[in-house]
Amino acid sequence: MADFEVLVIGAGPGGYVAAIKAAQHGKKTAVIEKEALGGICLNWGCIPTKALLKSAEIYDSFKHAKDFGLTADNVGADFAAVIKRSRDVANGMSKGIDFLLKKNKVTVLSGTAAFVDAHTVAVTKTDGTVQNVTADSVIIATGHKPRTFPHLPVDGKQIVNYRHLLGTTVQPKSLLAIGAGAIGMEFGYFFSTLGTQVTVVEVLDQVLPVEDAEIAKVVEREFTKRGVAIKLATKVVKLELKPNSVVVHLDKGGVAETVEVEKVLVAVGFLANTENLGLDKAGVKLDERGFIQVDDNQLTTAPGVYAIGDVAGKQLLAHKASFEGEAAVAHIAGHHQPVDYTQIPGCTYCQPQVASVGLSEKKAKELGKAIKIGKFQFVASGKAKAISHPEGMVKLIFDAEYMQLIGAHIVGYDATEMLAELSLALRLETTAEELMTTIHAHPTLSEAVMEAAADALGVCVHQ
Amino acid sequence: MIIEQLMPALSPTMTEGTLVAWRIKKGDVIKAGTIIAEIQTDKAVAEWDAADGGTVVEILIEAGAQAKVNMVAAILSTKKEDDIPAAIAKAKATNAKLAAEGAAPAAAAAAPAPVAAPAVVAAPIPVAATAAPAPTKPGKGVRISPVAAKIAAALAVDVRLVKGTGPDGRIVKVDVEAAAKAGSARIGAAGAAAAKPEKPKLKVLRADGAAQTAVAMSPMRQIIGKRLLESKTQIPHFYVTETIEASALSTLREQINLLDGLKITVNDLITRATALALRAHPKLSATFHGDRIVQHDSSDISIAVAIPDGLITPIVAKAHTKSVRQIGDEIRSLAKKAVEGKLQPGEFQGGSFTISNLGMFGIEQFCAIINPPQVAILAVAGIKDVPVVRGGQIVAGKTMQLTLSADHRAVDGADAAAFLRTLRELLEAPATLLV
Repeated sequence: MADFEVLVIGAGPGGYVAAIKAAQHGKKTAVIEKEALGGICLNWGCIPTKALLKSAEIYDSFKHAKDFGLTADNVGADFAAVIKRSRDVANGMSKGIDFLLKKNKVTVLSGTAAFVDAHTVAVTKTDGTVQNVTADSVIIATGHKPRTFPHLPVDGKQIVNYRHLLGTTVQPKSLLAIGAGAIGMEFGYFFSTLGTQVTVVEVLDQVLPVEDAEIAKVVEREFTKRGVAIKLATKVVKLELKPNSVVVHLDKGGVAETVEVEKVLVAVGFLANTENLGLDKAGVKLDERGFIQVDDNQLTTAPGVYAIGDVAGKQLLAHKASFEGEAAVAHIAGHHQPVDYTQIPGCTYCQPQVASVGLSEKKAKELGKAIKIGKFQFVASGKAKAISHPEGMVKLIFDAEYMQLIGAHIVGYDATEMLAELSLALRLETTAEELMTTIHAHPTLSEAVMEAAADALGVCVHQ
Repeated sequence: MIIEQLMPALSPTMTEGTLVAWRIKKGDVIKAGTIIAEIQTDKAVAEWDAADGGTVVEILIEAGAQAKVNMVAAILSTKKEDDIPAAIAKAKATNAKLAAEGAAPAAAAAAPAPVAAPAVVAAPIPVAATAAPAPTKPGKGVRISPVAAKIAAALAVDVRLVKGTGPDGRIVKVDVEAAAKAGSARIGAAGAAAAKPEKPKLKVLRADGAAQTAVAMSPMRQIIGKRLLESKTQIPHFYVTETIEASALSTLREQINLLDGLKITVNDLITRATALALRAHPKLSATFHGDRIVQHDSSDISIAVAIPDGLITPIVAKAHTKSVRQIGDEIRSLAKKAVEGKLQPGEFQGGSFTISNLGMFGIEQFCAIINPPQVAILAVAGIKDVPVVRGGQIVAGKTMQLTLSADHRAVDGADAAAFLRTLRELLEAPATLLV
């Protein structure tokens, strides 16, 4: 008999959720983690960055105190304290995961995992001892790491990735982010708010390239207003290191430009954490992009071996990893519960925030759908005006035939908290009529959802 | 598999009907879509087409008998292993229960959902508008997503018979689509007319209390809108109006209608006259194709027929070879089919000229939009009692205005005027139409 029924490699938001779910199914479960419980998300991603962004937002509010009739003099930021708070939040959460795993009787094995065969994993502990663990089913949830490029030599000092920035205690005077995805934009907002001169460079022609173009345009405009330099359709040719700065050589459609900054954040490119895992011994194959190949049960090419989360490709999102973990455990328990990738929400937490689920306008059109679009600008929302955040909008995309919601996009102050209603609506196959006739409390930002649905039906009241 | 053929509700208000005649008998092997019976509803006799194929193993309602909606009228079997005696016993029990319930409205009768095949539409049950107990509307106990409910309403799918595959058996979009697909081939005849999507209506009160209602465009209205916008914006229309002295025409019609069993209309006479006039003026019996104009020897006349929420133009083919009586019979047959949604594509596609007649509303005069690629359309107004000058005297007379809309790319003013003159001569001496 195997040591465990389910063995999970990696305790990030995919792995620890899968382990707890497996335990709840009555499976004897263990999880292997080489660093802190909670993975990148909890320790070096989602959670600590949200802590930083809240500091930035409060600081921003102080700076605008006058607009609200308040005085706040000598407002300043203690950068090291801001970073420390973020670390404290992450550490506290990691302890919470430890508690949850224990509560569910999941065995935690600290160390590095490598397959011996498909059902045996060697765990090398920090003291160098090796323990072979056997399991009926193994779930690989090892996540991703930033990819390195020859022309972007990350040194952890002047040229850094997100992880270095989360540990830095000295605020740079200037920062250039390569990549206008969520990482580039969130750090861009954080540092610029605290007074760093920020430049964001993106090779594509919009910020937040996975988002709806019209929504991204709003963010670009707001960033520009804050003094962030946004350089779109621009390539980074090379980074030239100087003693106290980096000269970034840019190329925009053949026009060369240089920007000299204190630090460069490389926020492009990710690699699946597959090396030294002994995947070949287990018979687990990778796809052409280096991610583990899986079917819709998250099953790899090796019987009994599953892969979930970033290491299995598609969107690199914590909640996607968790749901894939549930799908894998469901399959182990004899069910088929595939993840619907058309319903995975995505959020970016800079200000204005961006939140979306489903198809963008462009994607819907590419799919040949006849669509109806409903929009509502927050400038027409009483609540948005009262809280002094009139920027942004709600944009809903409906399949014209039966007015089924197929895409929802929000840009604005509290966009990420407003999205859940629309994720539920999408999941329940809701049409514009139900969204419009659902009574939304007044005054709330969420009223904009109702108004946007009404707009799609041609009967909007407030714009 | 045992398939029960349930007495369908062929109109929104129908609760029972008379099974006028069976078109099948025990032992027949039928396909989905086969017309199996004729049913007298509260409004008309309609054909009932089978929702499924199989071997007819039992007929439970005799021809001529009354039956309540949802009673099992016949039983089909698709497999040798089917337990036919058990199925018959079950069906008889269902019928007895329904008979005992008194008047059984469609929705109320549904509780036991007595159908062996859960994922298909049992019968082309029409979607009732707000007035009727619509089986497609989720009632108590039916869990269905909003869009699935809308699709069910549009495609006349009885949601009580659909198996849900969503969480805890909730009916989701794909379930209704699959049920509709399995049933789509079978929706015909009464089903097709009944299956027209109920257009979502949105009533919104403005701040001042006035109501405004937004009605989604049906596919037909969208096509009408697109075609007519193209016609009116791309074709250089011009209009020529002529007044016809219609006394002789009215008198002739009255005389013909004195004949027993014969009823012709002014429109029949005008269609005949137009067919003859087109033969004399081939430029008007034409279609425009960008770089060439095709003249049609045959007067294939499209007749504009109003149908619910739209119009359609069925064609009287070779009208110049047909008598007034033949033309009249044909128009009435085509119009009936049009309203019932039974026209075949060949019956409304093509045509060399169109007549649009609003005479029955007593309209003074109107201009019609050309039906491309045709190059002209005749707008027929009502016959009016007016004073006319005859032999220098003002006497009581009847007149009617005809307005021709023509495409100036293909037809010139003189051509249009000459055509209308011929038409007037024929209509003012209507005996010419009878030879």
